[in-house]
Amino acid sequence: MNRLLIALLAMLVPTSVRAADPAFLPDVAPVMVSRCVSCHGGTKARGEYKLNTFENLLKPGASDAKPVVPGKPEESELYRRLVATDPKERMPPGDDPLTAEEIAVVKRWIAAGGKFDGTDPVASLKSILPPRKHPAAPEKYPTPAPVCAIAFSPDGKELTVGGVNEVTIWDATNGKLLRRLPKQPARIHSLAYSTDGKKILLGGGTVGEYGEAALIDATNGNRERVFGPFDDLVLSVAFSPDGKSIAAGSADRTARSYRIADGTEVWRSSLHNDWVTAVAYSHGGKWLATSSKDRTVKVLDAATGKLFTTYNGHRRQFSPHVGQLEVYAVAFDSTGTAYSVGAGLAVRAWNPVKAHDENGSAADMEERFKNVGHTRYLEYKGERPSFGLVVGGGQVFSAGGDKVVRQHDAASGKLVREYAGHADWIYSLAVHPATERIASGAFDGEVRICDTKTGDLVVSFKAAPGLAK
Amino acid sequence: MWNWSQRVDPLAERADHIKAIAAFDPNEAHSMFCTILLAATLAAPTDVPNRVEVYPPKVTLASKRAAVQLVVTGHFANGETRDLTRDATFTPSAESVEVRGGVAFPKKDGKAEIAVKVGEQTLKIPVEVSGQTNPDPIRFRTETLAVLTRHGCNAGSCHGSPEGKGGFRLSLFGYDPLIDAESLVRGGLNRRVDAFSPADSLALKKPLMRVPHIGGKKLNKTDLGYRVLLDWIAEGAKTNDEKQAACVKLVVYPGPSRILRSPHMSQQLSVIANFADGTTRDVTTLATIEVSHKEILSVSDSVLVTGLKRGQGAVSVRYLNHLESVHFTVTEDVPGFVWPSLPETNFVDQHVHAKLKQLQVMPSGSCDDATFLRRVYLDLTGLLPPGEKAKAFLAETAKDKRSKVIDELLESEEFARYWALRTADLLRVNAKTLPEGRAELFAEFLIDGYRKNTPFDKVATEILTASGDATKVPAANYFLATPVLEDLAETTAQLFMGSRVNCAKCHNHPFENWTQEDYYSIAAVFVRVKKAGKVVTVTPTGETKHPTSGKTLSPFGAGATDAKADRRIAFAAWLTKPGNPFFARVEVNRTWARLFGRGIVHPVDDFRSSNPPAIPDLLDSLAVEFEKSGFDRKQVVRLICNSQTYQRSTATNKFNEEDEALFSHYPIRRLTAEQMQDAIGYTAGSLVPPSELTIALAKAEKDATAAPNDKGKQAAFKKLRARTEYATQRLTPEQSPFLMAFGQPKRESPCACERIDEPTVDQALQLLNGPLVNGRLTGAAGEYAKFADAELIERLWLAAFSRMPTEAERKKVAEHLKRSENRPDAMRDLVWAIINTREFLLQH
Repeated sequence: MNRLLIALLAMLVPTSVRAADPAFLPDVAPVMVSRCVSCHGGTKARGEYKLNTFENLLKPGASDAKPVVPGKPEESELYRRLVATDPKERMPPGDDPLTAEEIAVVKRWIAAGGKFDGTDPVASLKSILPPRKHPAAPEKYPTPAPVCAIAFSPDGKELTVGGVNEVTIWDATNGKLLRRLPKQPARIHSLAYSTDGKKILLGGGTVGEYGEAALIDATNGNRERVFGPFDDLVLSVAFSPDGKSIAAGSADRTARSYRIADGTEVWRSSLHNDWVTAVAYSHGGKWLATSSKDRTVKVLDAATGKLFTTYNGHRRQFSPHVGQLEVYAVAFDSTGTAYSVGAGLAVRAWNPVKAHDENGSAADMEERFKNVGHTRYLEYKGERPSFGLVVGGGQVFSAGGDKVVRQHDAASGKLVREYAGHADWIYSLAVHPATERIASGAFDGEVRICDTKTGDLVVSFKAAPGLAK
Repeated sequence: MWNWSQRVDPLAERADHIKAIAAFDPNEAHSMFCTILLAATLAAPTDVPNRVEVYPPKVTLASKRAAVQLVVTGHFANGETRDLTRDATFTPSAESVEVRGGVAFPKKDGKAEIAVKVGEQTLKIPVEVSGQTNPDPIRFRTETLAVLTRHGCNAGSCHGSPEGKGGFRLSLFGYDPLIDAESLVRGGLNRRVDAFSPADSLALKKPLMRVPHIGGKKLNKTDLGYRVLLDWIAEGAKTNDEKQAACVKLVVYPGPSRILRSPHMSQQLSVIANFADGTTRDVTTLATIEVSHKEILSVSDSVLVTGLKRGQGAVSVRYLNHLESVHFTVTEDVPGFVWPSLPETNFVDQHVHAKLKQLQVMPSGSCDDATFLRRVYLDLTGLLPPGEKAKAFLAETAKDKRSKVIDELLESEEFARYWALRTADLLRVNAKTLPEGRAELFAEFLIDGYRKNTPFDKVATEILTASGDATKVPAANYFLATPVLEDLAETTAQLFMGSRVNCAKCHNHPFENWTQEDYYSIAAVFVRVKKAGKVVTVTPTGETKHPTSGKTLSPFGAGATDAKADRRIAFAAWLTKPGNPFFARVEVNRTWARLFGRGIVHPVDDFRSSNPPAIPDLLDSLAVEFEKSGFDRKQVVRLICNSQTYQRSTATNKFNEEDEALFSHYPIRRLTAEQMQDAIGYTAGSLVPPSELTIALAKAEKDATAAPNDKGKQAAFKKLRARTEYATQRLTPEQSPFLMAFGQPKRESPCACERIDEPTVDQALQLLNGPLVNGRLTGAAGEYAKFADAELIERLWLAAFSRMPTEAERKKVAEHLKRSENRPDAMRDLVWAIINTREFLLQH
């Protein structure tokens, strides 16, 4: 923002007193990524011109015109196309032109020599952009925002909720807004407290273009560490049980692990063919389970990211529970049982080691699974997918498009209770076994906290600061 | 790709003849030349219209976002109409309305007039503006979904496919708003719309290509669609407008057809939706517009249709579940074209000529007698004319000799059998589906219908209402050949209504007004038909329900008065009643297609407003004639075969060489599988002509009757009677590699498209040295070897081509026979060469 302002000023003042020249990575690359790369990127790049990497950005496209002639913006095709008066020439076509500030930045960067300030000219621009700075949250919500992420603080007193460009903290007993932690990603899809309650890990981003996991201070929202960037929203984050690492799953189809201490990426797994909807560590931290819209759950070695096994129980050809079902959530209990849920009418409870032992390519695998009764089905009735799944105190909670929270007893698999009351789809769940609380967040912004012993509603509120009643 | 025209012709000089078929006809050139000399310049239409008309006659703008497209039409003295919208000036009388680019927009409540001035003429259109202080939110069901259709989002190849695309699924053309509401707003973890930052919604960023989109750029910021989607999201992406009045009718102006005459090649369209609550709304820019022939018509975003070149095409306008089409004829003066005075046998020629004249296409001349005879025999009986018959016909001097042959053939057993065979193809009459002789029984029933010329309404009714034991009631096999209810609904619609309703099983038809309700209403006609083994019965109860609404549907067409009555009777009565929009038109079109290889509506079972008939008046008149004649099928064949149009040469001229749809020249086509097999058999001398078969049959019958215990005689008679030697005459088809190679249908579908006429390598191999050809050739040697050269040549030529050989051909063949040391071998080579000529393999 600051640099843009400088750039703007630079246009107004004589060149001799111009401020510092713009740099590629912080100033030019973000504009290219947000406005150009979607057409001039992959294998079908328009005009055979790509600028998905710095190296490609310098290579002429079909027109053979040099994109960047150092020092000569007017002779540079990259600049010329931004300011062309012919609508057929001007980029991006059929869309708003770049802003005057953005165009000026490109011009001045070329004028200053068009230099690369990164280390790897063949790396995708998207991957080497600096973390995004996020704007402030809306002061007052004009309309409730869907609650896609909630979490209880370790003591159970506070409930943190994903807002718009912010995380909001609410009193779990009365639903009062305690504080707002602003300048976070536009959307937040996952929240987790550190065991000491001092830090919050969030996952989110900007739909279709950017994702991050961020470790923030639970009191003031300081962004202490940002993990990423991802090419799409981060849908799920988790602390490793030892508190040294985090894992994140993204709609860009990757699951990644980062070291908290220095923010380095430990491993990246690209095994899924669709969004990674949830990540969960096993109790001792040996495994990381990743669920996906690709209808599988993968169990990875948490330390290395290597595949241990793939759980295929959401795509069955043999009854019961036949279907090809997307998986939206996965969780472990303390005994090592994994639970996963998505489309379909049951939470699947299964054991990764058994799944591994019984897995394979044998054609009769499915039938064998059925006969062995390997997966337990925690059944319920409904029509729409479940998005939320939490396990605590021997109880399994799930909720989704059917607007109810369901509680199954993990041991018996019996449906214990259904919590009605939500008026809209539920996207998020959090459980606090010690205080016997289950919290749920819905599309219409409503958060409901209920007592898991009695089933009674403790408090409900719209998690929308300043919403006009 | 291998095709017929690339075939190497074994008799090189024969190629000249075929070339002549496709070349310029000197006689025709002569007549054309004379008329060019006589040509007078057409009186130029005056540029001042007699009368100006503005549509709509009254403008109502009842909400803030309302807009009404005005269309100004000039009527000229010569009968032409012309779009003058862009020539007119529009001056509102008050500030409540403004007009930009021919579109009226509201400014504030009140009444006014718009003065529309064209040249010296001025018309005043009353305007009423209201509701300008009320909110006018975007309606999900009538606007958002229309935009998704207009920009192709919910097309079958994109997110409208049953599985969606890229994890995002929409209902095909928005037929199910609930699916779409869920997918857009709550589905995909709510990632597609963003109420806080509407312009950053994925539903906009993707089609704008702000982020990568496999479907490419589908939306521009300047499009109305962008505005609609953006505002809809900004207003909260509300989808709960299910109570809002539904669109019940779409009115497209001008309609149903328009002529564009060069240089006035454009026409503004207006599209107005009528809603159930009586309100109307101009949806010109919300509707989805498609053209059937992109080389002939183009259409702009503001729905200005422009003719690009001579021809015909349809502009289909889709809005929600409604589809209307406007048929455009684009004409321009072709230099040197002058319509000559041409003979017309009957109304067939009148209608064809009117269309050809309008589009300035010059019909070809008449074919010669030999060509006619071969053509009409093949079309009516499936067989080549017997050589003696051809010789006599060529020598005959009576003026009405062609008519006489047509009449004669229509009365022949061969006609009944061959035409029934083509009908049976569509009714799945095969022994696998209908065992125990039932296929033969059903086939015999169909033959008898043609033999006795039973009125077609009676035949259809008998089929559609048949009950009982199918070994005794032949028509009941219709229900046994199509066992599943849905199949029965689809087959009936395709056969008798010329409509492919299959799509409507799962969703409303993408290109037509067939809805799921229609589909299950047709099924409701047959839902009470029960089948137990070979017996078809009808129960007094049973209903079909709409798969999504669950509504019980009343049977299509006409409901029975008695709730327990056989619904099929009322349906058949409705279907066959004169004036029914489908029945007569579909059958005459099928008849036409059998005689020309192409329907007036093409394909024959794809009647829909977006697939208009090539010559609408022709189809209508034939249908009316069919109804008036009491559904006399032979009468329709007779009318068509006697027309100049049927008897045209295949040779084209420079004014019709591009025509493939208007029947200005006779289309060349390959003999069908069955025709080919029998023609080879007859030419090689191993099949007797059916005229002789009649005598043989009479004798065999006599022998068989005389010796009831002689199995050999009984079998001989049976074989003759069933005509099993003739592929075109059998009761049920033989499935041989030869026939299958040439596209004989397996009789597994009601679609005429099951018969394949594309060339394949297999066909070439079959003709070069396939077992059938080899077998026939062996017989040929004995058949012809007994004749002296001159007679042999003549017989062979008459059998294969229905004509006398030319001198050059006589000479060449005589030399060939003389040169050879082994006469039978030389004979085989000769016959092989003949059946491999294009003149033989093609019907022309």
